[in-house]
Amino acid sequence: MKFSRLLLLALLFLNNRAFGVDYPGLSIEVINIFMASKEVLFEKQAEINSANSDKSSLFGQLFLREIDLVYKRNHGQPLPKADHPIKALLYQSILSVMEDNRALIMDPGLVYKGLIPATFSFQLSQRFSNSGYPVKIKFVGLRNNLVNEANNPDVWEYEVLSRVAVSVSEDGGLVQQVTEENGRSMVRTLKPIYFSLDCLSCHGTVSDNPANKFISKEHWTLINKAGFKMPNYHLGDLAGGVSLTLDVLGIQEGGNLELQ
Amino acid sequence: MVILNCNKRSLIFRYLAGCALSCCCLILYSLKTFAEGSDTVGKTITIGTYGYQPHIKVGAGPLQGRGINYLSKLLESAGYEPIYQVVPRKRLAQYLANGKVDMAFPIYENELRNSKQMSVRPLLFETPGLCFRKENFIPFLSVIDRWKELDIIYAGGTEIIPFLAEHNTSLKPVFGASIQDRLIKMLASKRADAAYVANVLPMYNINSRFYKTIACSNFYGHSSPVYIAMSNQLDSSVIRSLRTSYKKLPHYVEFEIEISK
Repeated sequence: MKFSRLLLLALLFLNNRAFGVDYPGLSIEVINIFMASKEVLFEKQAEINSANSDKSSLFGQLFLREIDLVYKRNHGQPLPKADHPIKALLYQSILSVMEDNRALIMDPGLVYKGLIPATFSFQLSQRFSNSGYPVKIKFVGLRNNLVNEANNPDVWEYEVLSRVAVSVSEDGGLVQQVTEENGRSMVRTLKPIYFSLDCLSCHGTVSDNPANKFISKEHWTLINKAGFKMPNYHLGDLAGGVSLTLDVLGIQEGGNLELQ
Repeated sequence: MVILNCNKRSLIFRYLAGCALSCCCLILYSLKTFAEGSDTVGKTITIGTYGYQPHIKVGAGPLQGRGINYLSKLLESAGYEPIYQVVPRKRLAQYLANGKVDMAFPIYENELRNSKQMSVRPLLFETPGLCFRKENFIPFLSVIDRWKELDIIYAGGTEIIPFLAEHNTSLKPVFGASIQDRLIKMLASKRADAAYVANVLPMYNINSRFYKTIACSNFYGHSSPVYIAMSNQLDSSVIRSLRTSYKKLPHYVEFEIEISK
């Protein structure tokens, strides 16, 4: 804990003296927006999977309004303004991912669309991270229980998750650190995610599987709605985290990695 | 008082010097702008492309789509007039290498060898996937067990992602004209369980003619980058000015959202 506080102090010092932008604060905001959008997607599952309901709130400004409501509920303040290119890019990416899934969402011929928070987060992190800006966001899972290999944590993320798994902190265990990669300063932030009741319908025990409701125990299935074996997690267990990497120099150069 | 007078004189001198300097700068800037303007006025850039839904729509009239809007904006902001030339897909990279077109879109990573990228950033990414009859739709392709024993067809010549090839041994290439229609017909008539496509979006979107028949899932994490490329034979000053305009242009994502509104 002391070590991370020291690093955070160093980070804030560097930030105020040299960069003029509150990168740790920006990172936390970006992660919180990311998490709020994921939560909206969870709450909108019935709408997404319905055959003929009004789905206008899943696209464009109406979708951002839904995220705003969740953000207010979680943080007591409105959704941050797009006053930094990275935040603007995140908002654009969120809307683009929903547009990418328009055909799926609007398809009346599918009973279950499979657009769940995990797939949404993965698409969003790809959209956001592949944009060429010196910023990457990633949903990271636990190494021994990955559904998607692309969610494999790197060394830093693995160390942080291992530490978080055995400690409980008041701030939800958010970790920030400045690391050096190829001579460049990276501001790294990881927000752990813990299983809530909603998550357990797919990630919980066999008894949490909605497919087993109203069925006698001997006929219970181990397979969840997504087609995976129920992994036996419990309420409050560590699920993984959202990891953000900001390349400070890259941002100062305006993401200018262009060819000459 | 003397000091004040001296300051006043000094201020007036500085003011006049500043004005003179500003005038010089203004003249130089005007000359430069005029020279640049006269370089590009009335100049055209030929862009090779093909039907690439939903980015490039080739129909009876002029080409349409968010890709066209973006490319036109890019060229116009650099002071060029775009001329679009529809080229067979397989020949686009060759046309670009030979200088038959000045620019090309879409261009894939393996086609960039004899051309210059507009940017290190790809314009967009393509995601491969599997298409199914709606009643057999598999939403999560990470559940390998669901598709590993299916009969999967694909357009002959299409590169298959290793993840699919590793886990399914019943992959069958299909050859011939109107290959997409053939794949979907085979799927609809249950002669195959699924069809592999290198890019899901053109097959499965609300405007696609296949939308009523099929539904597709993506192989997330297996996307490939798609670029705008320029001919090596373009003058270096033109390449520079196009790249400068590209950097100033809003992100392509904004064009995507705008169009879909």
